[in-house]
Amino acid sequence: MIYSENIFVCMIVPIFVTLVFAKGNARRLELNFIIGMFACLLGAYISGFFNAVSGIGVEDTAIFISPVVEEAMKFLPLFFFFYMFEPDDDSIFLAAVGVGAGFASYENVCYMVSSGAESLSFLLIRGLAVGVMHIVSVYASVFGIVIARKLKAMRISSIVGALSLSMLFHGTYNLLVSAPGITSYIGFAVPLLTAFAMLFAMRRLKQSN
Amino acid sequence: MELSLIGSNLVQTAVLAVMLFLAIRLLLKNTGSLTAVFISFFFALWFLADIYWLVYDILRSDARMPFAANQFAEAAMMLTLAAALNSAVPHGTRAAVRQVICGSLFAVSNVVLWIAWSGEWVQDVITGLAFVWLISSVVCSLKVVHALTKMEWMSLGIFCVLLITGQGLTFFFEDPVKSSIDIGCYVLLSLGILYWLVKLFVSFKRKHTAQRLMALAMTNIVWIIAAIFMSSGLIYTIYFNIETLSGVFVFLAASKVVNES
Repeated sequence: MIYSENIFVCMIVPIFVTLVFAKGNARRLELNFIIGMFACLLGAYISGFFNAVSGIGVEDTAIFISPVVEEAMKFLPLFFFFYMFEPDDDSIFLAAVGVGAGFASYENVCYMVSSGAESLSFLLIRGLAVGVMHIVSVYASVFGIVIARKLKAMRISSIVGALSLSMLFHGTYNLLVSAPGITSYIGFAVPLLTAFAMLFAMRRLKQSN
Repeated sequence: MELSLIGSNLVQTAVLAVMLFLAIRLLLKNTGSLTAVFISFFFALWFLADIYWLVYDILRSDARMPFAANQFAEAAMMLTLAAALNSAVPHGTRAAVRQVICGSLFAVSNVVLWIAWSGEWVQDVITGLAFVWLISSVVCSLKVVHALTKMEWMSLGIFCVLLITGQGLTFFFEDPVKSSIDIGCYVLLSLGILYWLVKLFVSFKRKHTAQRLMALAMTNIVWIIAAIFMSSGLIYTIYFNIETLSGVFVFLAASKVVNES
């Protein structure tokens, strides 16, 4: 058992202090980083609840149910921001990156506390895989709603569709890394490859604009 | 058996990759078209859900899946399909009240059967809500474009009632009566699939309006979705393959709508 709430408090206190000194985009990024960490904590509670209710075991809960819960927890604050404040594209993407990075960082810290931090190579792989995966998945869902807004297609179907895309991406990653061997290597590589592909697509999109 | 299903899944994934590519190209050429947006969303979801299912089949097919990302995606796929259809065939809320009520009853009966078969009520209720909405949209569009004659509406109603009654009766009988009822239901489902496919094919050949093609393509895929949920074993694999073909028809109909608009 780890005291995740204590870790959460220890991590957010310095960031809260820097919020006083930071301005503009830096402050927004930090705030979203904290929201991401909080979403991770809430997601862990909800996944734990579903684990107890469904009785399928911790491993299967992490593989099947967690992607749904975690992506929903990341998406909800961003959707609230998107819907209530109607931010421009750059602001919502910045918020998405902040939430994704906060979520991944907090999850990585909790993982290290519970499983140990002896192997730097494994932690590097985990950081590059899980860390990037959370950012890419939340970025993809926000990309979906931004595209829907641009094309005047904001409906429930677009919102649920965008959220589903990120859940599927996260779920496939979890399935791939759940088995040892070649599939886990593919799983670890997928987030980085997708991140590069998305960067390339965004550049092409900006050039064509 | 498992291998044949994985093979079918691989084929479907490959076809969907092509469809997704074509849908995105269609969207980039017609950025103002809502139908193109929703169809692209639909194929993106279907493609990713297929990959998810493929990985699940290969790595953890023995594990129970209470509520996973692909089930949420199934509901999202149904919603995007309905949105694509509603944008292609606009209609009021009272376009076909009687048909919508009957269609919704059929959809709700399906959901009850899914829950009775699987016991996973959370995922079935979530998918079921989207299924009810999709069937309502399909029925409305069929009525608006006058795709069916009075006789066809009545036959469709009788088919649906027989199907639901048959599936319901399987809970109360043991073999060999249960197997006979099952076979009867499979015959009804297969006849329905064949009828919608032929009707759709003839509509394409006769160059009917894009809206009519869209309504029929959606009806076809909805019937196959219902059939897939009601089947197992070899029949499931066969319906699964027909679903791939229906996806292609949906894209062709949607692209016609987009290009004509």
